[in-house]
Amino acid sequence: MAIVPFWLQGRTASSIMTILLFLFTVYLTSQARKGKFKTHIRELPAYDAIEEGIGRATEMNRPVFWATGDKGTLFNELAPHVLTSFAGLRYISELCVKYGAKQIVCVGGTKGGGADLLPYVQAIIDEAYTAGGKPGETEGIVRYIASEGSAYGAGLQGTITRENPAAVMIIAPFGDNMIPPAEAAGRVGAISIGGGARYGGSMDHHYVAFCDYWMICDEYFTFGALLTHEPATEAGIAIGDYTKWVLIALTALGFLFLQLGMPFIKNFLSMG
Amino acid sequence: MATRIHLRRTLPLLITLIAGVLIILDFFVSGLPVSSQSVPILSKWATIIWGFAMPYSVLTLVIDHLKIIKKQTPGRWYYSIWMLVLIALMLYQGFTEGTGGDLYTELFTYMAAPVLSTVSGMLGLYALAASFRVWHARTPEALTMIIAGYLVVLGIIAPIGEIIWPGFGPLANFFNDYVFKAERTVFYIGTSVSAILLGIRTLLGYETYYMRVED
Amino acid sequence: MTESDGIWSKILNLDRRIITIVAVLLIVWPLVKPIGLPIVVNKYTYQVHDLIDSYPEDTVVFIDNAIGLGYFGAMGPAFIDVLTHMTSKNFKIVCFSGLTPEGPITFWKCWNAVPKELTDNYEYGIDYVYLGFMTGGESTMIKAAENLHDLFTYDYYGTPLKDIPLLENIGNYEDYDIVLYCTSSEDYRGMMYRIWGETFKTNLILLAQRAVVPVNMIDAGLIKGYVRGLRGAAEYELILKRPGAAIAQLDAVSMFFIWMLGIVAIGNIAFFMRKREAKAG
Repeated sequence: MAIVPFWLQGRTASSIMTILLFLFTVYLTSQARKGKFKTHIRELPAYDAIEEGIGRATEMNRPVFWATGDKGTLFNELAPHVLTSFAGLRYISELCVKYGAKQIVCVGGTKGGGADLLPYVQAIIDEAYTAGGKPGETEGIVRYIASEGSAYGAGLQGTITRENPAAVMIIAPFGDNMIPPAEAAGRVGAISIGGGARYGGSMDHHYVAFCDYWMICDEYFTFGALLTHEPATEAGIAIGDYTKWVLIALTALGFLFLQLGMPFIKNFLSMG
Repeated sequence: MATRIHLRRTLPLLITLIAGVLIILDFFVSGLPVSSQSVPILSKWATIIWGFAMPYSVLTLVIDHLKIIKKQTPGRWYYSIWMLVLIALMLYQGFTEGTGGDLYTELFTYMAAPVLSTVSGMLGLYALAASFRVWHARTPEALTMIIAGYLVVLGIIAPIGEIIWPGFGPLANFFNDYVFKAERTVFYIGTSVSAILLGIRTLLGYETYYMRVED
Repeated sequence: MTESDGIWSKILNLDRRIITIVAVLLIVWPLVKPIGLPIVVNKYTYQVHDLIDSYPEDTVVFIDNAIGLGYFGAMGPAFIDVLTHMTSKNFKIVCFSGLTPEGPITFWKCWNAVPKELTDNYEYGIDYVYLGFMTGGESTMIKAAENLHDLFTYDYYGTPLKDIPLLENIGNYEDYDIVLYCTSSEDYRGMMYRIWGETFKTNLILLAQRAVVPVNMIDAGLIKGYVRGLRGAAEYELILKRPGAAIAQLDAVSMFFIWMLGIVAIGNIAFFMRKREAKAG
């Protein structure tokens, strides 16, 4: 088989961008770890609401509810979204252990999507409870609902209605099937926190419409970064912002030069 | 002990980095022997792991529902029995006749299909009830969302919109072609950049929350 | 008068069962007694129709059917209409389901719903073939594009691929004139754009549920056409002059959404009137 490099495959621009992002990430992260680069991440109301919700659950002696998304698996393009939701689950579990709140974690998803997540979710819960000094108290926390999306949504709704949680957290890649749990949360009087950044079929409008707090688009990935409180991760978020500024500048300049009859930016970006 | 912990942290990171770099290399330089031969193997391994995860989830489901039956949880235990009967029937059918068998097709067509359609259809009814409860124009953003919703429904989805006012169609198409297009593009770029950077940080070992090891 | 006492509070606390029952009645009424609301055909549906129409007989179409059973009512008619159009032009059809195990069932449901006068001329193995369900996500799709014979050894009925005349000279993306992706969910659309649109630069047509057309993808050339759910299917039926399930259901869709818009308006009026009364009281 002949070797075909990216410049012959029409992937020049994306390859250059990927290489630059790699180099920039390494550079800025090392600067951040040395303390030479500091950044500020704005507040996310939904992030603050998580601890508030868990505190409320402890006071009311009602459980905290969390569910994996019905769209994400570790084998598709939503794997980064799933990893971010796992970071959230770890944080929420640690808080539940700290405050002594009961926890319900539901797993499931479309086309068997929940199947590959189940061991990870169980391991995260086990580790969080072990680290919090409550090993072995994880019996009955993780529940596998169904591997079909609609059945999963209905199962989540049923679980919320039966278990009457005080906080419902659906911070994961969901599709339409986030509507039943979000609606059920409202009916049982639970605080609902939703988050997602699916670019294929965005549910952002659903999170905004049906949840009390939400994290959408970049806020979702920023949430993952906030959980670690590490300068390196915060530097990563800053890199994302700088990249977007560069893209905005390229778009504006490209448009301007195109109007002046000089399409070189457009041609370069069209190469991949 | 320190060496064990070191290995437990470094080895997974190394595996992540090597696998990730090979796949990225294969994407950008196709035909390179080291990546073009290893990437199909990695894909097969991923499929095999996923294939093992499926029976594990079925087993977990069966165990959970057996516990419900044993405890005779009020209002649920008989549904659990029915569920286990269906799982057993499907498994039997799948192992004996395979997915092309008549009973398998009939079970899907006459049992699963109506149930799935009903549950999917009910999403619309939940959205309806929830809209009435929460879609109030408390803020300018909420009002914008409500107006956009009206426009999409009357201009794109429901033909009755164009009877009420013929201008809804062209107006909705204008928003679709320019406003929503811009929003979609921005959204794609924004979340894609964030996802790429998360992937880069994961490959380089800066994000390790998925494999935390206590020191 | 407290905020919770007045008529507006009672309206806001309306039992959701009443809302649901009215919705169900409004959906059922046009199904029993059709209203026949006129439908304006959108340019994107014309685009798909004209693209398919521009190809001659014996055009090879590669289809990935990912329509699930739950959304068959919404997406099935669109797939049936496009299949009807393609079979009326004697296209060669190679189909598989890469992303949903319900794909085989929905494919045959749709195939059997295509008018018999068109499918009677189709001989299995020569004019069309269905390969079945194959899992694996992105790697499966790339394999399907690079070499179908590496991915499948047998078709849905267990016939070796080498014994199927249609697939003798057909095996990779260069052999497919049109690629059709039918889905009832938003999963994997990005993957399809990347693989079929960007990497292999095929003529990808998308049949999906979202009402908002992905114009950015069409302008970028990643997809060549988009049929949007039930509304798109109804428009397609109008273009083909073959009224079917989609046109029949669209009246019910209209009634449901009018009710939805109505109660959102009522909810907002009640919300603001209640606030005003509370302030005045």
